[in-house]
Amino acid sequence: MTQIDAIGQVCPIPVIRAKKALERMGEAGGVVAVLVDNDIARQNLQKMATGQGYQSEYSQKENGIIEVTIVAGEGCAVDNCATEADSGLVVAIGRDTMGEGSQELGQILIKGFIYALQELTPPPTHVLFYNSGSYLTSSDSNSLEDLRGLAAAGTVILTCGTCTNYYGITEKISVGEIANMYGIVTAMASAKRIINI
Amino acid sequence: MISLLSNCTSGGCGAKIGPGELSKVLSNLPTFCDPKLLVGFDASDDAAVYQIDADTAIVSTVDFFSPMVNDARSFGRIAAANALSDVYAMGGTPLFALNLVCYPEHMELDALGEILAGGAEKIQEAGAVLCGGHSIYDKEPKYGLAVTGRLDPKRIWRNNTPAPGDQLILTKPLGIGIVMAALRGEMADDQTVQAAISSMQRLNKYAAERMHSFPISACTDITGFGLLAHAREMAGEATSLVLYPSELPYIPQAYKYAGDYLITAAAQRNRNHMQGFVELGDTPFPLQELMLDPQTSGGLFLSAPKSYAQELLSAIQEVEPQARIVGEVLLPQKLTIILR
Repeated sequence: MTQIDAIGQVCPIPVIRAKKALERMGEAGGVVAVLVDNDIARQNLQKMATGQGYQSEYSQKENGIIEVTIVAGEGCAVDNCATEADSGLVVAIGRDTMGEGSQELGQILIKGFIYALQELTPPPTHVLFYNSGSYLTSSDSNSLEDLRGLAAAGTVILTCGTCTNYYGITEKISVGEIANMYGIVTAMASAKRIINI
Repeated sequence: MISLLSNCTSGGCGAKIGPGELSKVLSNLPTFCDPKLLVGFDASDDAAVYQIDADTAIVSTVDFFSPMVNDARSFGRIAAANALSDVYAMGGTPLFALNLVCYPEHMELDALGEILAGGAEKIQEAGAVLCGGHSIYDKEPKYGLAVTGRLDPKRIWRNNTPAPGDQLILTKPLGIGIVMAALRGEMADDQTVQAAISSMQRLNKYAAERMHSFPISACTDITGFGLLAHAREMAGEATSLVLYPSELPYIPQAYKYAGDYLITAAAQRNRNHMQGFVELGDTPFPLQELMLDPQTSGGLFLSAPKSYAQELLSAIQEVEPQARIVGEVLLPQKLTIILR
């Protein structure tokens, strides 16, 4: 799920930000939650959602803040998505190839694997990269676009900082965040399911 | 150059207090009775009209707002054109104007000089004189004018006296609020922004001058309340207005921007205000937004007998080529505004 804090922002800014976030999710769809501080912005967000064929609902928070939840994607009701959005799935990728055998084939496979992760609904909660897997989030990776799609759909992407230092690619990490081992362990410990590559 | 916009949460007529909210407050004020007050604020008209003698009345109005464009000189011109417009919308001729200025203590004074110079240009163009003003410090810059004009009391163009059988003319293109929203969202192209700015700077003087040779049943100028709210006000209880959405003049890109949801808070307030008075039905969404779009220094919206309407339109088009016949006036129907 993508969170947008549009408190204090005047229309059309909250609508533009929500629309862009939804468009970045592409055909896979996803959930965008927007915080606004006035009911007119809420109305404009829902007007956009309805016009674009998305489902939406809202809830009143404290201090006059309103959270508008917009769901893009086919056959996906707000309630189902909100609960399903937490898939509990963590994907841990410790190498830059997939399977044993040809290195070249392994690289083609890992790219296909990351691409296919985007098709999961709901998306993984986390994708973790360590050891040579760290190369996949660097600027030389050919999976960046797919990973950005995942990030836009709400997946947290973490790359091991010790690993990026070791390979000297810390400055080149182009998607997600750099995490320490504690962050990686926490993500794994809270997972309902883990896929290890 | 300093950025005027960065100081402002909302600019132009989009910052107007909503029509519904405003009438709630105003209804609590006492009614003043003076037979010489020909048009007072209970009429919700564009300006007040006070009779001096049988042939002379004065028309008085005040208007100011915070910047809706970055360029100080343009802002000055727009604010002044907007303030002067109310005099033209009543059928009057501006005589003199006073500056109203709010300005942040920390902002450079050069920009204020530019704002006032822009305003002075428009007062000159109107053939009026600038004769003073009042300035205070404030968090956001604001500028406008109090304008006094002259008017023949027998030829007042009220905003709510159209006659069944009339046709309706709009003199300037819609879409100002949408283009300014696109500018705020950094999604507007320069040419479109320039078209909006030049439309806002344009005095309604020229259209009004052409109108003086024709019988005019009713006239108002389009403000932050948008075309539909002004149409509702014009219809009153005695008539219903038909509008032709497909005939409406608008800034070309504004249609696309509205379709991209570059929409304003004010348009949504206007939409709420219109509930029960119009059925937007299957009117394309961008056209709905254009009819609800808050205009800053908008065009004149007028009602004239059908037998003169085409000739009047041609006369107006010589100075405002985008003017169009956009509707007609009926006896009261179930709905106040009918889209056709």
